[in-house]
Amino acid sequence: MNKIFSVARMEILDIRRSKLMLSLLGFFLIAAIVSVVVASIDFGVKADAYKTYTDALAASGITNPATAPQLFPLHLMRAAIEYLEILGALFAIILGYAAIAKEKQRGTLSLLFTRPIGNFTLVLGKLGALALVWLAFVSIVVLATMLTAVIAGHAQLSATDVGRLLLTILGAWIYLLVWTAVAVSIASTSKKLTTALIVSIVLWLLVVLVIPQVGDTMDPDNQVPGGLFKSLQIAKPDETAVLANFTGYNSARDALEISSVTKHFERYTFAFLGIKDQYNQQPIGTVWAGVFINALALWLFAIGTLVISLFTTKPKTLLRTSK
Amino acid sequence: MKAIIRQELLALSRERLPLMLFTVFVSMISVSSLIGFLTKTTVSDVWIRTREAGLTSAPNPFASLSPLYYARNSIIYIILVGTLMAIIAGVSSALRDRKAATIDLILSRPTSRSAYIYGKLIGITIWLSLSLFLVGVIAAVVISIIFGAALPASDYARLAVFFLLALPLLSGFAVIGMFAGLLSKRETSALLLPISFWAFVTFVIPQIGTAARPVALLNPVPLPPTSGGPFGALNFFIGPFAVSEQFKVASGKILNDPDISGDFSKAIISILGFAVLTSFLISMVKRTSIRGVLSE
Amino acid sequence: MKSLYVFTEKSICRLSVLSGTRPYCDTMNEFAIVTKDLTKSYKDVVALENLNLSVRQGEIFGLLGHNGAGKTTTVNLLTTLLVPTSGTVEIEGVDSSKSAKDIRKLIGYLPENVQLYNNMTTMENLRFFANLSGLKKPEARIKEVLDYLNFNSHYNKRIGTFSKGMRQRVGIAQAILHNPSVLFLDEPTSGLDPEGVRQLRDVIIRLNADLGVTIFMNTHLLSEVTKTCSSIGILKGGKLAYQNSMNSTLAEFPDQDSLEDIYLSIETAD
Repeated sequence: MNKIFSVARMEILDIRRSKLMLSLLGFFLIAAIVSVVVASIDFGVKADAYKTYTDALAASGITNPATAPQLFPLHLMRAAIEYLEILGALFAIILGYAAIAKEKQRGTLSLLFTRPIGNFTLVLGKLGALALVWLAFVSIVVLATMLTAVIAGHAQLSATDVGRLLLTILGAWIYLLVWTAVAVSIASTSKKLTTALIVSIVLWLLVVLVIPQVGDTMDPDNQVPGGLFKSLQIAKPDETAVLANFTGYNSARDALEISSVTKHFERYTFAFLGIKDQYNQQPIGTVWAGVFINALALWLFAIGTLVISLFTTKPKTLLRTSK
Repeated sequence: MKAIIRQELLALSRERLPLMLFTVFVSMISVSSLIGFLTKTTVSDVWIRTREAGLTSAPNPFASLSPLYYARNSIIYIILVGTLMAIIAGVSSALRDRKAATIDLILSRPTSRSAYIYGKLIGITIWLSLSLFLVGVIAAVVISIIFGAALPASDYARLAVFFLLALPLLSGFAVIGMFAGLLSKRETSALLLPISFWAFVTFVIPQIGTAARPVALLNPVPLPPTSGGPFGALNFFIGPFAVSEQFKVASGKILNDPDISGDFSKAIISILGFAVLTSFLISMVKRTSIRGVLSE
Repeated sequence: MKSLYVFTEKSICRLSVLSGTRPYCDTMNEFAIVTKDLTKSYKDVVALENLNLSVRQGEIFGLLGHNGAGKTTTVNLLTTLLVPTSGTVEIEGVDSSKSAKDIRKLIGYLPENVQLYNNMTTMENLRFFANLSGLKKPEARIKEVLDYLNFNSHYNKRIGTFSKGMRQRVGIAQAILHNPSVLFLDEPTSGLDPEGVRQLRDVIIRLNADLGVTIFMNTHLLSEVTKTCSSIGILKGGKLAYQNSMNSTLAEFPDQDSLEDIYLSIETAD
């Protein structure tokens, strides 16, 4: 246990001293904060437009039929969550890759494995350190964006919102862990380090960007700006009835989407933050019941990738492929 | 210079990483046309069902779509995969001589620094044009097969112009990769820095200018900027730097996509400006930094 | 005096936590390193074939050979980094196939061209490796070792700023922190300037004399072994072609030039 702790402490120290890693994480934090500011301004613009509209109507003696835009503070975080989804995953890959690549490049593996340590000491220490780094990072990002929403967006948080945020932190943490574990496994098993980095990035490209994009494009409703059914003014029950004829196509699309851990993360966080209308302002219990399957999938992805990384990051694999 | 270009082409054709991304690129472009076809068929059927159920009497909005509609998703794959491929090609090219320490052998011969850099750049650009040509031919063939007939000549011309426009975008990113490869002290940062830059240009800059959310940027149709507030001004200044968004605008117009709005000439200027500016800046890299030792 | 006991199948070794005392095993084996028919092959290439080697306690043993002769493979097998295809390795009477972890408590290793952690100080590097070797509060011990190596003024400096020779000094320090009874050095002088080579040679001889550590070094430099080693072996094409004490070797081939001749004749003979 002490040795695992030593490895973890060394890894954290290393990340803290690496200018590249710190600037990547800092850059992310700034981008996330800026995105909340942008969303707040965007909301302000919409609220103003609504007021101008109402005033104009009032002047001509008509009451405004449209409802006023309502501020849901957690919605301001949407872009920040999407950054976690895209860039967070990329950075998780970079840190996971670096944790293993550094040891291979420095030639320190043989120093580590000629010491009386267990087969899993190194990987447990490294993953432990990265898990800690990600927990701290996600918490800081969520906290900072929330503070920005309160200050710049004049948002007010309720006690339930805090609960929703905590669940969001948990989900984001697991999501980043998945990507870190994937990169650790690939870096451990690859013979050439640059290949490992590129393979991880191609995987990221496919899972984070391409599959969800393909899923979205395949959605018939997305083919017309504003939504196919909305533009044809078709009610929800009729829409469901029509779509019932296309179960084959839709289940293919769904299968594609659920193969991507990113989609589960998106559904999970969007539900808790109320970004998905269906879950907006619902009690946590209701949301939980709705996204239980996505939470479960996130956990399964995490357990699966972590177990794989445990078994691929053994002395035998690492030494075979070093240099 | 000729020797450097030839060496560059030979090396790129034998290296695994650029080739790997090229394979991903080719398969995504071919698959994307297919997905476009599947989706269009389905959505047409959805509409037919809707009409049969008596829910609408509007004409089928998909019946009259141009076959170029199927090429729409290629825009996204050029932005996502093509640019990444270009970056990797640029980095590998710049690192190659530093890693093998052959840079001293080259620079101790009567070869100027700029001949070396531009020789490499021209080599990469030729490689990128060949890749784009191949991808373009595949896309044209797949679309013709889906369409069930040869397209009108004007449509082929549009496709050609579209893939031609991708060249300055990709070579601009290749130069960004070369910058990192020539200047970085470590191999890892040489790869990471340009990829982070790419992520910044693709996902962060457009977000600031248009308040579009990052995931929405995966849509081939660029979102019009939010009107009012500071966004008009922000977008005026920041917009041109979002080259990938500008590429969506320009190629959407070229492919005759009715959903595209935006300033075509501004988009073209932005893309060409990106390529020209980066290629100009790379000539400023000093001899000493090219020879810098790679550590760790 | 604080001591650390290592229980192995054949012996109980006491590893002193303080320097200056030689690690003591109560069934003192005559040999520190013994290999029997040690073989390592990869798919269709045999890297090392039936190596039978024995190194006495307290010797400085030099393993010579051209590049690709199997020197690094041998060291990797002896330090448990590789698992033999067949044959056995015993370090201080401990069989590596049965208890690799026990061997790791007994040995120190300095690989060729190790870089260590550049953005960490000497202290941080050494503390890490000491912890992995099971030392709980190693700071005092680290200072002691650095004193011994005349390196304590660089205690809080980051390794990234060090010269190759200075790095090698830290490399030696990490290898002897836990008072190993056998020390493995892979091409220790590679990349050092003449001054660095001389200093390192002094350190090796001093370690052996003061602490009684058995030292096993790999090298392709003949001049190196004549100045430091008490016995040598020559590997050729994965097989041991020659093994003798330095004194007998020199008696057999009275001057250094002829030592080179025997090396070359063994190397070129079929």
